[in-house]
Amino acid sequence: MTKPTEIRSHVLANLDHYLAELDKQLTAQGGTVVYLRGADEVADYLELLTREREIPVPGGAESLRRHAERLEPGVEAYLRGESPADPESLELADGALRISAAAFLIADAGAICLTGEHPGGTGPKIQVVVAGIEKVLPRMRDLAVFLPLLPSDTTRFLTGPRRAGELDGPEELCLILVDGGRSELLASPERRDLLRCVRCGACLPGRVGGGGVDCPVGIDTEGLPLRLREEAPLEVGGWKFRLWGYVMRKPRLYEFAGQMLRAFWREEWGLPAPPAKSFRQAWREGKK
Amino acid sequence: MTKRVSLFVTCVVDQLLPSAGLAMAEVLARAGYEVEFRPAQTCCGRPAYEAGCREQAQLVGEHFLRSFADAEYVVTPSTACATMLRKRLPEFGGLAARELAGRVWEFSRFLVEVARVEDVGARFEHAAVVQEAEGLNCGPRLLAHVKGLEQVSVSDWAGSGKLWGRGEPVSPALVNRIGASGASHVIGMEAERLLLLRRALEKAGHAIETVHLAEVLASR
Repeated sequence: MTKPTEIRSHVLANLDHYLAELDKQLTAQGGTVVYLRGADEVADYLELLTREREIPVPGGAESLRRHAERLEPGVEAYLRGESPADPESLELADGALRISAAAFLIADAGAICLTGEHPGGTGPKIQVVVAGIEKVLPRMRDLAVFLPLLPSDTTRFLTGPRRAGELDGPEELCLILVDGGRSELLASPERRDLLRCVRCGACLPGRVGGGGVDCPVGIDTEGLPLRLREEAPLEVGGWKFRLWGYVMRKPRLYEFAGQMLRAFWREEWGLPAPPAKSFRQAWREGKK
Repeated sequence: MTKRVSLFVTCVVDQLLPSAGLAMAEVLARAGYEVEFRPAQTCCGRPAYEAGCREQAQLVGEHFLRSFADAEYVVTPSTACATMLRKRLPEFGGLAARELAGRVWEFSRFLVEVARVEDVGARFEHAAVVQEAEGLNCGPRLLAHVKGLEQVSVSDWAGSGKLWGRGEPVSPALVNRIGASGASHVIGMEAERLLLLRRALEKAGHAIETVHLAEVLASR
């Protein structure tokens, strides 16, 4: 197992431990940690925050909702095999509030690592960072392994709000940890590995070495996401399973579908051809 | 008073292997149960669940719940479907779903753990390979009492096929091992795996019959 794979597997196996450590550290350094279930709750939280702090939002709640969905595409993004780049930060009211996505969270330092950010200036008054719970790494030194994998070349660290004597940094720092279906994914032995993904983009088509040959965290990019990509439309309610679900709730329609199956049986389905009568037919006739 | 069991034959047995359902009904009747079949039943929802389509799995699970809400025991020939219902029904519904989930039994476990019979008086005079059971299954315990049955062992059941989710064909190496085992029959605990194997044996030209555990237990 390669080093990055080893670290990511270890994190996922001990996620509760590292989240607790991160929470404890960051809180001790003056940050706030919030746990939310998905993009919807993130949007609600942001709406409340802007209203309470009287921060004007161009486009209103709707634009906050859209941004929340970009920041937290949820576990569906993994299942579709997408590795979107981290979205750009949203800055409101001339630096009053900035909402960003984290590249990594470092448990032992209680730190947030942002990439693709333009440092410069004194930073926003309030910094909100949204991150999936799987973004955590155990130690600061693990970044030496992971940062070189990322396509972005600018990195910024946040370890809490600005302290006395510091020149920059936000006055308030809030980290939003989102589940977004990840704990369910974690419970699935077939799919858990997807959460090792660090969004390096090596598997995206068109990139050097792309096409799923060399995933640095050992995800079977050839097999797993491809298969999941095929399945992913089902995840969000593909028409085939909607039709199937409809038929399976209508016993008469189900029986009719069974008869159609018999009438139009195809070799290539890989099963032996069905007998002339279904169980229910045989049962009915036997009971007569 | 005769106890009543409600058959949940599963969609696969209903449509593709009815003989297993009929045999199961017969064995249960011989064990002293009044056996009913509720025609409202369809599927447990596993095909959708294993494909990751939880929403539809839940809707179909709710249909199962409506069909069997007042059943005393629900007995099914599939370990995988019994597990699906036992584990997922409580997530899909309220208290009634939780209670019903506990009354769903895989056929062989029902015989051993509820009916408390191991010798069902079956006679099956063949040399047969017993398909490795997936999950908790009392098939081997029941088969130990079947008269005339000569069990032939086949090592390594890896690649024995999968129907739902990401379907997998039966590995040709396994088919060859079974073909060379000298057995005339394969006894399966799970209809879908049995059917996949039946097709693979047919295609490879082996004249080996595949039968479900219930069919063996029903034979005399």
